[in-house]
Amino acid sequence: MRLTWLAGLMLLAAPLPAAAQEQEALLDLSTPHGVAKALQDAGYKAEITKAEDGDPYINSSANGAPFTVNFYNCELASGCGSIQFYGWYKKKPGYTADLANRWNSSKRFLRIEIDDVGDLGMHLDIATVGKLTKANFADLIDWWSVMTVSLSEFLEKEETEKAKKKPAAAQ
Amino acid sequence: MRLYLFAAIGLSALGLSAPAFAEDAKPCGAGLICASNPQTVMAALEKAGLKPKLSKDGEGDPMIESDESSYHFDVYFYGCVEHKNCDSLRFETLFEKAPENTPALADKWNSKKRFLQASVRNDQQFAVAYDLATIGGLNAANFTDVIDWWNSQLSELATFFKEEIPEEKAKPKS
Repeated sequence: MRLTWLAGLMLLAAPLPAAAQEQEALLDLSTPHGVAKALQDAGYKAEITKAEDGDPYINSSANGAPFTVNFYNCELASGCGSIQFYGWYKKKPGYTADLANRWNSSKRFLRIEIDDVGDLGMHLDIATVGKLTKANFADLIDWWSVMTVSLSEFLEKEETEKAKKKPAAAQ
Repeated sequence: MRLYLFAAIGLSALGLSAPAFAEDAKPCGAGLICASNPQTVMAALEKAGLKPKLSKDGEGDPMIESDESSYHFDVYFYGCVEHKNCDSLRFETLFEKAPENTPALADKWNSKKRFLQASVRNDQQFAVAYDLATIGGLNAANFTDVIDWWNSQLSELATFFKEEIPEEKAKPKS
């Protein structure tokens, strides 16, 4: 998937300076509007909505799996200083700190954790002060996309392994 | 104080799984910072006062070390093809093996904090890492922000260790 994306990017950037400039165009990701537009321009759906506490966030989706974009370090004058892609899996018995550690000790970009109600959260934090190039933001979305698919496969494998061990435990 | 490891000697970037076909073959844009151009990373870290030292990891990929944050840290280059055109960086600090280094401790950090991914390795070393995607390049201001996050979160980590690890509380301030 990344190869296809890269190939597409190189075609876009090829000979014209204007095209190269477009890839280096800077994105202002300090507001929900800015992030929503950037996601949409990159081909992802983005719907701005509000949490119970009134803070805005974005609903999006990658590979058919929903995720949100949450905003942090927000000031009235300067907007928000960082964002986070976030998704989660509903609590399962196998979701333990050990499982989370098996992922975190061998995988990059996606930080996972088991929260205090036992749900599994997955996070990718992005520093946005100074603005990002369009191509760099697209790369980050790509990492989210690829690593969340990888996590899904990891969790399935973990569940299969766990099921195999059951008969032994029952003895 | 929990001792950090001088992770440089002999170690390579962990064989951490990544998508196949990683590579950043596009030239790094003027004024931008990319893993594909290690000198741009060096210059930015120098400018930030981090006194970076460039070397190679055990596999021959570029690697940078610094002693100028709360702890010694390394910057690994990933997604390289024949040690070039790397597509991402990983800032990493390792702490020596200790009984308090548990998945539960790592999970406590990971569920409360941002930017740093904590983990415990097979050898019971505690690791924190910040992965940075560099395809498309980062401008100087954004890279400065990245460094600020790295520095500030390492400082937060020091506080976290003091709060969570009993002997850290007991130790007098030096």
